[in-house]
Amino acid sequence: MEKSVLHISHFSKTYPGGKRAVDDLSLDVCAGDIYGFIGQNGAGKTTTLRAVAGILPYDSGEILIDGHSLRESPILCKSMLAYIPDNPDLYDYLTGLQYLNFIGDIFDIPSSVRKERIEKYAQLFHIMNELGSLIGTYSHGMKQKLAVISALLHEPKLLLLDEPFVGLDPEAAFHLKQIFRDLCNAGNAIFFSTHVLDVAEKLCNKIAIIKGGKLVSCGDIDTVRGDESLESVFLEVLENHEK
Amino acid sequence: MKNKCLLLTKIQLMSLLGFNKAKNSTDRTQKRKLAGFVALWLFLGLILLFYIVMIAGLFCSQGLGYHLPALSIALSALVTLFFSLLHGCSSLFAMKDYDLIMSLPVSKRAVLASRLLCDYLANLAFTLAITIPCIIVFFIMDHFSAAVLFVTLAASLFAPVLPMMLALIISTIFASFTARFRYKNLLQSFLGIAAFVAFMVANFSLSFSANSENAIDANAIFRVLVGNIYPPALLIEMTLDGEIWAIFLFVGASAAIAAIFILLLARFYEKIHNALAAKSANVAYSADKVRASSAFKTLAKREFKRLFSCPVYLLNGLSGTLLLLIAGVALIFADVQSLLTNLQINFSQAKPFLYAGIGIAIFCIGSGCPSASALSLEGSSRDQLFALPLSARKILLAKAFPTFSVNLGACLFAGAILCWKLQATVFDWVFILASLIVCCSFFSLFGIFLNLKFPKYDWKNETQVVKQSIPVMILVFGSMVVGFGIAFLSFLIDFWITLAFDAAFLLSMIALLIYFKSVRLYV
Repeated sequence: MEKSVLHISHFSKTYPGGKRAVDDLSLDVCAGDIYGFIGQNGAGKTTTLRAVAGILPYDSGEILIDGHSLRESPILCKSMLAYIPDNPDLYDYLTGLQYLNFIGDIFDIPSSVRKERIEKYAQLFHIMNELGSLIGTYSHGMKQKLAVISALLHEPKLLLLDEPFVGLDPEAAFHLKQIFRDLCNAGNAIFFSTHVLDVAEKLCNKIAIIKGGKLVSCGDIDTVRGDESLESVFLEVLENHEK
Repeated sequence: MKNKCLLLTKIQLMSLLGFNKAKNSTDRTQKRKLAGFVALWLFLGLILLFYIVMIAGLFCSQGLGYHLPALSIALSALVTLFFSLLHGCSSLFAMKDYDLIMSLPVSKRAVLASRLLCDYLANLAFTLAITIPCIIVFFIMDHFSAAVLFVTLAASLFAPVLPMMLALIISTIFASFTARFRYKNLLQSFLGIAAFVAFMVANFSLSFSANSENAIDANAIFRVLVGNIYPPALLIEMTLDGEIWAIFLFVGASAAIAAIFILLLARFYEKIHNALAAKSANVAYSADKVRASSAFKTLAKREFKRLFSCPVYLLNGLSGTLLLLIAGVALIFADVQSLLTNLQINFSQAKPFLYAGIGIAIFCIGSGCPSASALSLEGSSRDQLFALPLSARKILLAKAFPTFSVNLGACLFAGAILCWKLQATVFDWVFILASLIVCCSFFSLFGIFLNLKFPKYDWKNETQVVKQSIPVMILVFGSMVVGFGIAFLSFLIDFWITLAFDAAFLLSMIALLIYFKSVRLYV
């Protein structure tokens, strides 16, 4: 049996005011998975990702990161994952390097190791010359790249990303996909949300479709889509679920 | 232009105090928070009203009621100038909705006018809160006068304008001058601090020069005082003396300066904003800057950078600290013996002043407490901090650390000078300095605790958090009550009141540290 890096069991979340954002969601992300999480706007994707990142309290259910309960051992769980929100609002008053040093200190990464990783990824994403500048001067895409580098510094077991390809130039998107594959080949896992079904289709080995807070389909991508394109399946699943 | 200006003003006012959010939210917590906020403002307003009525009554009983309109205008203008200087030009240039607003078919003049109108309305409310009770007391204790009523109301409507314009001109010049530099925020902060210090020194020297004159004619003294505090307020006095043209000059000059400011600034508004928001020169990667440190140290460093990166945050946070430093320096040069002799107090009986000094220190450190807004200032980027493998306690203590360290330095400096000047005993030295350490620790922790309980993450401008949030207001007024209470009671029951508060602060700190261990931080 594959080892589960992320185990979500009967997760539900209702916001104050009565809006039930996610209802009884269960899924497993195993080591080596690139797991795509797709759904309409407001379906509950970001709510799920934030709950798994440990920054959103939830009403019921259990979330385990590498077998450890997020409720009982939040710091241990957070040390094994990295979360990149859809619009990384990084600290404008720090330089890129200061921000990376900050993340490196939190995850206790030795100087030599972080130096090596910073240089590797900064060169890959072509932001080496901007690392000394204030983040407030960065474009959205540059902030996105910096956020990705910071997430990769400690080689997380589970990488959570919310719309990671928005704002990235084609070359950066290509490198990011390659990084995903390398991470998963090393036994880690990726769980990310996206609206770009093409990317999900080519990159992911597993897919989950969420609508109105409920999981409507999940599993191996070949099983989910069959002989059709993911787009057709996505639209069909949503339509059937409505009926 | 008029309608669009009012529309823009309306949008800004709807975000003020969270009224619209509470009104349209289905979350009852929002409504309760707003109700609490309004109740707090009303309570503070009542305290202010009490003090104003008492002081106004005192003036009237001394036969000086006639000067109340001018004096109230002068004082409210001075306070407006002070707080507008601290506020800076952040409401003009640093708003998060700049791109959205400027992409709309509205003129720059309308945008500027709407920003200024919001500030003006807030300052007008404060001015009226001072002037109206004053003239009501005057009417009750002296006589009703339609002329006084008309002149005071007319002057009140225009009183905030000149000080606001002066503060905005100074801060806009600072902002424009520093825009081209890499560390513009830090430079703006230092210039703001320099202006603040100059303002306080000027005020102190004016107060001393006013006191040094012989009190032969109280009315003449008051004219000098009003003239020194805020010269345009003399026009109010002249109007009440029969020179009607003076009020028209006051109103006309205020309106004209505001109009000229808006017209001039509109020409350079985009240029200044873009210069402030511009990219600075690229600075390359340098391998030797990759350095490791502990999690707490890196968090604390980040908090210091945050503090020094935002002029409004820095100025408001350090205003109390600066006051303490200025007071300490002033004490070095003051002739304490002569001052006590003038007050007919024996030097050997001056000990209560030592303990009263702690009360003053509490007022200073409470009035500027960066930790009260440190958590809220995370804003929409808080999810990244909360997602890190850090205990809430570590995060909160790191946020309290800058407040503790800057206040501690200033307190120990001022405390040591006070002990030296009053020739304190060894016991008093230890007691005073230990009390100051306890106070600094308590206020830094209490500030972050209040921020945890009353966060405000949806701000458009740092000023909304740094000056207008519940934690800041509780601390400012709480420290005023506690500080002046200790200062007053020290003359009645010596050091016992300070000791009692020290014990209470220590116990509270222990409770807070235990509580922080159980906190979880969520978005």
